[in-house]
Amino acid sequence: MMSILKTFGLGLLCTILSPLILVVFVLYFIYSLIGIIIMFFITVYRYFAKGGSVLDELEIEKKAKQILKNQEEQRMNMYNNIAPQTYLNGNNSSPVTDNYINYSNENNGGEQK
Amino acid sequence: MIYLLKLTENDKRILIAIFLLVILVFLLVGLIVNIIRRIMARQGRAVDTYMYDIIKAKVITKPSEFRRIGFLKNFQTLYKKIRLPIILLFISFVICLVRFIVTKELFFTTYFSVDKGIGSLFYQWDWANAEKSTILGIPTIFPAQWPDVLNVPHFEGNFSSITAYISFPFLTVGLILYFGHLLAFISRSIQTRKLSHKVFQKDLSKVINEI
Repeated sequence: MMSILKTFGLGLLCTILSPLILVVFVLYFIYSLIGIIIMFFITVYRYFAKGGSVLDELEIEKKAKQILKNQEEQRMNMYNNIAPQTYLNGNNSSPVTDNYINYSNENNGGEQK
Repeated sequence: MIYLLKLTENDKRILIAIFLLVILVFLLVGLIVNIIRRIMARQGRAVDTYMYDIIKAKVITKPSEFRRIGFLKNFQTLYKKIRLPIILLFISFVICLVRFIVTKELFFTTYFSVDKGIGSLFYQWDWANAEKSTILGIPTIFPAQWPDVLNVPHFEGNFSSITAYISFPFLTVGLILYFGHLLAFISRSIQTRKLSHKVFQKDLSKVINEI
Protein backbone atom coordinates (compact mmCIF):
# COMPACT_ATOMS: atom_id res chain seq x y z
CA MET A 1 0.00 0.00 0.00
CA MET A 2 2.85 2.36 0.93
CA SER A 3 4.68 1.66 -2.33
CA ILE A 4 1.50 2.45 -4.30
CA LEU A 5 1.11 5.70 -2.38
CA LYS A 6 4.78 6.54 -3.00
CA THR A 7 4.38 5.84 -6.73
CA PHE A 8 1.24 8.00 -6.78
CA GLY A 9 3.07 10.82 -4.95
CA LEU A 10 6.01 10.56 -7.31
CA GLY A 11 3.66 10.71 -10.28
CA LEU A 12 1.91 13.77 -8.84
CA LEU A 13 5.23 15.51 -8.10
CA CYS A 14 6.63 14.77 -11.55
CA THR A 15 3.43 15.98 -13.22
CA ILE A 16 3.64 19.26 -11.30
CA LEU A 17 7.37 19.61 -12.05
CA SER A 18 7.07 18.39 -15.65
CA PRO A 19 7.56 21.86 -17.24
CA LEU A 20 10.78 22.29 -15.26
CA ILE A 21 11.95 18.76 -16.17
CA LEU A 22 11.19 19.47 -19.81
CA VAL A 23 13.19 22.71 -19.71
CA VAL A 24 16.18 20.91 -18.15
CA PHE A 25 15.93 18.17 -20.78
CA VAL A 26 15.78 20.70 -23.63
CA LEU A 27 18.75 22.61 -22.17
CA TYR A 28 20.74 19.36 -21.95
CA PHE A 29 19.70 18.58 -25.53
CA ILE A 30 21.09 21.91 -26.76
CA TYR A 31 24.19 21.55 -24.56
CA SER A 32 24.92 18.04 -25.89
CA LEU A 33 24.27 19.13 -29.47
CA ILE A 34 26.77 22.00 -29.16
CA GLY A 35 29.26 19.59 -27.54
CA ILE A 36 28.84 17.05 -30.35
CA ILE A 37 29.34 19.73 -33.04
CA ILE A 38 32.48 21.02 -31.29
CA MET A 39 33.81 17.46 -30.94
CA PHE A 40 33.12 16.83 -34.62
CA PHE A 41 35.25 19.83 -35.59
CA ILE A 42 38.00 18.75 -33.17
CA THR A 43 37.91 15.28 -34.76
CA VAL A 44 38.27 16.75 -38.27
CA TYR A 45 41.10 19.03 -37.12
CA ARG A 46 42.95 16.22 -35.35
CA TYR A 47 42.53 13.89 -38.32
CA PHE A 48 44.28 16.31 -40.66
CA ALA A 49 46.68 17.98 -38.23
CA LYS A 50 47.83 15.29 -35.81
CA GLY A 51 46.44 12.02 -37.13
CA GLY A 52 44.68 11.22 -33.84
CA SER A 53 41.05 10.98 -32.86
CA VAL A 54 38.93 12.70 -30.26
CA LEU A 55 38.06 9.23 -28.98
CA ASP A 56 41.69 8.41 -28.09
CA GLU A 57 42.60 7.87 -24.45
CA LEU A 58 43.24 11.02 -22.43
CA GLU A 59 46.78 11.74 -21.26
CA ILE A 60 45.75 11.26 -17.65
CA GLU A 61 44.33 7.83 -18.50
CA LYS A 62 47.58 6.78 -20.15
CA LYS A 63 49.49 8.01 -17.10
CA ALA A 64 47.16 6.12 -14.74
CA LYS A 65 47.51 2.90 -16.75
CA GLN A 66 51.31 3.26 -16.74
CA ILE A 67 51.36 3.75 -12.96
CA LEU A 68 49.15 0.70 -12.42
CA LYS A 69 51.30 -1.35 -14.79
CA ASN A 70 54.47 -0.32 -12.93
CA GLN A 71 52.86 -1.20 -9.60
CA GLU A 72 51.89 -4.60 -10.93
CA GLU A 73 55.42 -5.22 -12.25
CA GLN A 74 56.91 -4.22 -8.90
CA ARG A 75 54.59 -6.61 -7.12
CA MET A 76 55.53 -9.45 -9.48
CA ASN A 77 59.25 -8.72 -9.02
CA MET A 78 58.88 -8.80 -5.24
CA TYR A 79 57.09 -12.13 -5.47
CA ASN A 80 59.74 -13.63 -7.78
CA ASN A 81 62.67 -12.40 -5.71
CA ILE A 82 61.70 -14.30 -2.56
CA ALA A 83 64.53 -16.87 -2.02
CA PRO A 84 63.44 -20.53 -2.00
CA GLN A 85 63.49 -22.10 1.51
CA THR A 86 66.23 -24.60 2.35
CA TYR A 87 65.67 -27.05 5.19
CA LEU A 88 68.40 -28.67 7.22
CA ASN A 89 67.04 -32.22 7.25
CA GLY A 90 69.15 -33.34 4.30
CA ASN A 91 66.43 -34.16 1.73
CA ASN A 92 65.26 -30.50 1.40
CA SER A 93 61.68 -31.21 2.38
CA SER A 94 59.69 -29.22 4.90
CA PRO A 95 59.92 -30.59 8.49
CA VAL A 96 56.29 -29.61 9.02
CA THR A 97 55.17 -31.80 6.11
CA ASP A 98 57.40 -34.66 7.27
CA ASN A 99 55.92 -34.53 10.78
CA TYR A 100 52.41 -34.51 9.34
CA ILE A 101 53.15 -37.58 7.19
CA ASN A 102 54.64 -39.41 10.18
CA TYR A 103 51.63 -38.50 12.31
CA SER A 104 49.23 -39.76 9.60
CA ASN A 105 51.16 -43.01 9.29
CA GLU A 106 50.93 -43.65 13.00
CA ASN A 107 47.23 -42.87 13.34
CA ASN A 108 45.78 -44.18 10.08
CA GLY A 109 47.72 -47.40 9.73
CA GLY A 110 50.08 -46.15 7.04
CA GLU A 111 47.46 -44.30 5.03
CA GLN A 112 48.82 -40.98 3.80
CA LYS A 113 46.58 -38.02 3.12
CA MET B 1 -23.66 18.91 0.51
CA ILE B 2 -27.08 20.02 -0.69
CA TYR B 3 -25.53 20.61 -4.06
CA LEU B 4 -24.07 17.07 -4.11
CA LEU B 5 -27.51 15.65 -3.48
CA LYS B 6 -28.64 17.21 -6.70
CA LEU B 7 -26.14 15.11 -8.68
CA THR B 8 -27.82 12.75 -11.06
CA GLU B 9 -26.78 9.13 -11.41
CA ASN B 10 -24.99 10.00 -14.63
CA ASP B 11 -23.05 12.86 -12.96
CA LYS B 12 -21.89 10.55 -10.17
CA ARG B 13 -20.72 7.98 -12.68
CA ILE B 14 -18.75 10.61 -14.58
CA LEU B 15 -17.19 11.96 -11.37
CA ILE B 16 -16.09 8.47 -10.30
CA ALA B 17 -14.67 7.80 -13.79
CA ILE B 18 -12.72 11.08 -13.75
CA PHE B 19 -11.44 10.39 -10.22
CA LEU B 20 -10.25 6.90 -11.18
CA LEU B 21 -8.72 8.21 -14.39
CA VAL B 22 -6.73 10.88 -12.52
CA ILE B 23 -5.44 8.30 -10.01
CA LEU B 24 -4.50 5.92 -12.83
CA VAL B 25 -2.68 8.66 -14.74
CA PHE B 26 -0.62 9.67 -11.68
CA LEU B 27 0.17 6.03 -10.89
CA LEU B 28 1.25 5.44 -14.47
CA VAL B 29 3.45 8.56 -14.45
CA GLY B 30 4.97 7.41 -11.14
CA LEU B 31 5.71 3.96 -12.56
CA ILE B 32 7.31 5.42 -15.70
CA VAL B 33 9.43 7.79 -13.59
CA ASN B 34 10.52 4.87 -11.39
CA ILE B 35 11.60 2.90 -14.46
CA ILE B 36 13.47 5.91 -15.87
CA ARG B 37 15.24 6.40 -12.52
CA ARG B 38 16.36 2.76 -12.52
CA ILE B 39 17.61 3.04 -16.10
CA MET B 40 19.46 6.26 -15.24
CA ALA B 41 21.09 4.65 -12.18
CA ARG B 42 22.32 1.79 -14.38
CA GLN B 43 23.57 4.18 -17.06
CA GLY B 44 25.40 6.24 -14.43
CA ARG B 45 27.58 3.25 -13.51
CA ALA B 46 29.62 3.89 -16.69
CA VAL B 47 31.38 6.65 -14.73
CA ASP B 48 32.71 4.07 -12.25
CA THR B 49 34.13 2.05 -15.15
CA TYR B 50 35.99 4.82 -16.93
CA MET B 51 37.21 6.59 -13.78
CA TYR B 52 38.36 3.41 -11.97
CA ASP B 53 41.99 3.33 -13.19
CA ILE B 54 42.45 7.08 -12.71
CA ILE B 55 41.27 6.93 -9.10
CA LYS B 56 43.15 3.71 -8.32
CA ALA B 57 46.43 5.16 -9.62
CA LYS B 58 45.77 8.31 -7.54
CA VAL B 59 46.64 10.65 -10.41
CA ILE B 60 43.90 13.07 -9.34
CA THR B 61 43.43 14.29 -5.82
CA LYS B 62 40.76 16.98 -6.00
CA PRO B 63 36.98 16.87 -6.71
CA SER B 64 37.35 19.64 -9.31
CA GLU B 65 39.86 17.52 -11.27
CA PHE B 66 37.51 14.56 -11.02
CA ARG B 67 34.67 16.65 -12.46
CA ARG B 68 36.88 17.97 -15.28
CA ILE B 69 38.04 14.48 -16.35
CA GLY B 70 34.51 13.15 -15.87
CA PHE B 71 33.17 15.92 -18.10
CA LEU B 72 35.65 15.08 -20.88
CA LYS B 73 35.03 11.33 -20.65
CA ASN B 74 31.28 11.92 -20.57
CA PHE B 75 31.40 13.84 -23.85
CA GLN B 76 33.76 11.25 -25.33
CA THR B 77 31.30 8.46 -24.46
CA LEU B 78 28.36 10.46 -25.84
CA TYR B 79 30.21 11.19 -29.08
CA LYS B 80 31.10 7.51 -29.46
CA LYS B 81 27.52 6.32 -28.94
CA ILE B 82 25.59 9.09 -30.65
CA ARG B 83 27.01 8.40 -34.12
CA LEU B 84 24.39 5.78 -35.05
CA PRO B 85 21.33 7.97 -34.21
CA ILE B 86 23.00 10.92 -35.96
CA ILE B 87 23.47 8.81 -39.11
CA LEU B 88 19.81 7.68 -38.98
CA LEU B 89 18.59 11.26 -38.48
CA PHE B 90 20.85 12.41 -41.31
CA ILE B 91 19.38 9.79 -43.70
CA SER B 92 15.89 10.96 -42.69
CA PHE B 93 16.92 14.57 -43.21
CA VAL B 94 18.25 13.83 -46.71
CA ILE B 95 15.00 12.06 -47.70
CA CYS B 96 12.96 15.00 -46.35
CA LEU B 97 15.22 17.42 -48.24
CA VAL B 98 14.60 15.53 -51.50
CA ARG B 99 10.86 15.59 -50.70
CA PHE B 100 10.99 19.33 -50.17
CA ILE B 101 12.99 19.97 -53.38
CA VAL B 102 10.61 17.88 -55.50
CA THR B 103 7.23 18.85 -54.00
CA LYS B 104 8.06 22.27 -52.40
CA GLU B 105 6.12 21.16 -49.32
CA LEU B 106 7.43 22.17 -45.91
CA PHE B 107 8.07 19.45 -43.32
CA PHE B 108 5.52 20.42 -40.67
CA THR B 109 2.71 21.36 -43.05
CA THR B 110 2.24 17.99 -44.78
CA TYR B 111 4.55 15.40 -43.17
CA PHE B 112 1.93 14.22 -40.65
CA SER B 113 -1.13 14.82 -42.84
CA VAL B 114 -3.50 12.05 -43.95
CA ASP B 115 -3.41 12.69 -47.69
CA LYS B 116 0.28 13.61 -48.19
CA GLY B 117 2.11 12.30 -45.15
CA ILE B 118 2.57 9.62 -42.54
CA GLY B 119 -0.90 10.26 -41.05
CA SER B 120 -2.47 7.89 -43.58
CA LEU B 121 -0.89 4.90 -41.76
CA PHE B 122 -2.62 5.63 -38.45
CA TYR B 123 -6.16 5.73 -37.13
CA GLN B 124 -7.53 9.23 -36.60
CA TRP B 125 -10.57 10.14 -34.56
CA ASP B 126 -12.66 13.28 -34.57
CA TRP B 127 -11.87 14.34 -30.98
CA ALA B 128 -12.59 18.02 -31.67
CA ASN B 129 -16.23 17.48 -32.62
CA ALA B 130 -16.97 14.65 -30.18
CA GLU B 131 -19.87 15.22 -27.81
CA LYS B 132 -18.51 16.34 -24.39
CA SER B 133 -19.85 14.95 -21.11
CA THR B 134 -21.43 17.34 -18.59
CA ILE B 135 -21.51 17.54 -14.80
CA LEU B 136 -24.36 19.62 -13.35
CA GLY B 137 -24.95 20.93 -16.83
CA ILE B 138 -21.36 22.22 -17.20
CA PRO B 139 -19.48 20.65 -20.15
CA THR B 140 -16.12 18.96 -19.35
CA ILE B 141 -13.16 18.18 -21.61
CA PHE B 142 -13.98 14.46 -21.51
CA PRO B 143 -15.95 13.03 -24.46
CA ALA B 144 -19.32 11.44 -23.66
CA GLN B 145 -18.81 8.71 -26.25
CA TRP B 146 -16.10 7.41 -28.58
CA PRO B 147 -15.63 9.92 -31.47
CA ASP B 148 -16.12 9.15 -35.17
CA VAL B 149 -13.25 7.64 -37.18
CA LEU B 150 -11.70 10.14 -39.60
CA ASN B 151 -9.06 7.88 -41.11
CA VAL B 152 -8.51 4.12 -41.36
CA PRO B 153 -4.86 3.05 -42.03
CA HIS B 154 -4.18 2.87 -45.77
CA PHE B 155 -1.36 3.49 -48.25
CA GLU B 156 -1.20 6.61 -50.40
CA GLY B 157 0.66 6.28 -53.70
CA ASN B 158 1.89 9.89 -54.15
CA PHE B 159 5.55 10.94 -53.90
CA SER B 160 5.07 12.97 -50.68
CA SER B 161 3.53 10.04 -48.82
CA ILE B 162 6.08 7.47 -50.06
CA THR B 163 9.05 9.63 -49.00
CA ALA B 164 7.34 10.20 -45.64
CA TYR B 165 6.88 6.41 -45.21
CA ILE B 166 10.58 5.82 -45.97
CA SER B 167 11.95 8.60 -43.77
CA PHE B 168 9.64 8.02 -40.79
CA PRO B 169 11.32 4.81 -39.44
CA PHE B 170 14.77 6.45 -39.65
CA LEU B 171 13.42 9.56 -37.90
CA THR B 172 11.65 7.62 -35.14
CA VAL B 173 14.46 5.16 -34.39
CA GLY B 174 17.04 7.95 -34.61
CA LEU B 175 15.12 10.15 -32.17
CA ILE B 176 14.46 7.31 -29.69
CA LEU B 177 18.14 6.31 -29.69
CA TYR B 178 19.21 9.96 -29.44
CA PHE B 179 17.01 10.59 -26.41
CA GLY B 180 18.18 7.33 -24.82
CA HIS B 181 21.80 8.44 -25.15
CA LEU B 182 20.90 11.93 -23.97
CA LEU B 183 19.35 10.39 -20.85
CA ALA B 184 22.56 8.39 -20.33
CA PHE B 185 24.56 11.61 -20.75
CA ILE B 186 22.47 13.33 -18.06
CA SER B 187 22.82 10.27 -15.77
CA ARG B 188 26.61 10.29 -16.15
CA SER B 189 26.72 14.04 -15.42
CA ILE B 190 24.75 13.52 -12.20
CA GLN B 191 26.86 10.49 -11.21
CA THR B 192 30.10 12.39 -11.87
CA ARG B 193 28.95 15.21 -9.59
CA LYS B 194 27.93 12.75 -6.87
CA LEU B 195 31.16 10.73 -7.05
CA SER B 196 33.38 13.82 -7.12
CA HIS B 197 32.34 14.47 -3.52
CA LYS B 198 32.07 10.86 -2.41
CA VAL B 199 35.46 9.60 -3.68
CA PHE B 200 37.52 12.22 -1.86
CA GLN B 201 35.45 12.28 1.29
CA LYS B 202 37.53 11.42 4.37
CA ASP B 203 36.03 9.22 7.07
CA LEU B 204 37.09 10.36 10.55
CA SER B 205 35.53 7.32 12.25
CA LYS B 206 38.19 5.07 10.63
CA VAL B 207 40.97 7.17 12.19
CA ILE B 208 39.25 7.02 15.59
CA ASN B 209 38.96 3.24 15.34
CA GLU B 210 42.66 2.93 14.48
CA ILE B 211 43.61 4.98 17.56
